[in-house]
Amino acid sequence: MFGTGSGFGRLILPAAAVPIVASTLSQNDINLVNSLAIGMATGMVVWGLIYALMSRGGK
Amino acid sequence: MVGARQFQFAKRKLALIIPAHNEELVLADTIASAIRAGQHPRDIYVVNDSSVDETQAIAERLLGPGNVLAVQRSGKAKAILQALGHFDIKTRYYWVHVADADGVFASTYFTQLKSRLNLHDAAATGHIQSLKGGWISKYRLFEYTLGLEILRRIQAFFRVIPVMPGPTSIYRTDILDKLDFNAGTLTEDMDITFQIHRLNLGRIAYIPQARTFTQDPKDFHDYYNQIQRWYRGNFQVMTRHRIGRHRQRLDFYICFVMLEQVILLGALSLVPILAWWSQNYAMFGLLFISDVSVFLALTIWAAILNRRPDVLGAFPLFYVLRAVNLYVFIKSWYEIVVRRQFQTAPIGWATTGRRYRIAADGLRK
Repeated sequence: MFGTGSGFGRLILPAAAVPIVASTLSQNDINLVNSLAIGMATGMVVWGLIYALMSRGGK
Repeated sequence: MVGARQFQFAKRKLALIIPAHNEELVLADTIASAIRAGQHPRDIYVVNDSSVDETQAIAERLLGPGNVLAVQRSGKAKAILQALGHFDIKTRYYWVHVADADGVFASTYFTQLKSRLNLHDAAATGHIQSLKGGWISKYRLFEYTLGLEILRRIQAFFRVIPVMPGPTSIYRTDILDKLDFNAGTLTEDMDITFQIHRLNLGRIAYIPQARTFTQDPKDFHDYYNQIQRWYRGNFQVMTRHRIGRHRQRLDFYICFVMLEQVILLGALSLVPILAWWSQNYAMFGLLFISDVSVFLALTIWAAILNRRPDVLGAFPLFYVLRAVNLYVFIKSWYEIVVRRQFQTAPIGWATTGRRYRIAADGLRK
């Protein structure tokens, strides 16, 4: 937290902007965002599992 | 007058004190790297706090018995105090550097440091890098790069550096008497840094050219214990120094950091409610995509800057550590601020059982 300092809004800004941006999306945009998010999340989980399996025994 | 001038001339620039407790796995590497980095062996001192391993013998072999002090079990802060007195550091040196025994100094560390130390400053701190290691070290590389390459420079500019970390803390010796090294908190380095601010002792300089490497936790259990100690210590120090009740820059900065955490937590809690209320579940997707985009971009930047493409491989696992950090942050706040637990720190060493021998390729990029 303090050892490396504050995020200076690095994470707050996206979080604060989300509701505003989301309210402007059409149904097509919403579907696209949802598909993209699900794809990214799935990719991250698979990627993480592969890394964890390949580096078993590492610290 | 002549005598005084001669005495001033004889005063040496920088002493290095390494407090050690059962450090046989790492101490020789730390001392050897300090010598390679430009520190003369006669200016390196080890204070051995009741080690039961080969720590004393290693230190005496490398530095000579005159530069090694063995003390009864004291804890790190008291051991340092005893070394300062025993070796007469204040009289003999302008500056003293206290370093953990698990550090490895970059080859130009002390030459860079000594050429940039300015007696107008009260203290100084250098740059920390992670040794090469597993997923925890990779995450730490990201944190250190972001925290020190960008945020520490901003903190230094505004004179609000909140902590001089254990591997690289340098004090002007004439301020030592004003500092309480025995404050009884879990993060004594942060407490001493806060004292420098509170007592208006002067500027804390950041010297990014002086680079040192540090050992990260060897596994998740160690990582959890370390950040728990850090976060509990942070809240202890904030409470002890009554952060928010003074008008120093430090108070404004720490309040800003806390506010940022609160706003972030609030935003993350609010988004699901808003999504449910508006039946617009794209908010989750947007939040996730925006976070991954920013986080991944910063991780790629850190990997490029450090020439460590291997860091990117562990990127998805960084989310696990971020979630753990957030959990420990809230838990520590509840324990220290709300329940007033852990108000004093036990005498001892948080490093017990944490050390491991540095791998041959640990410093390689």
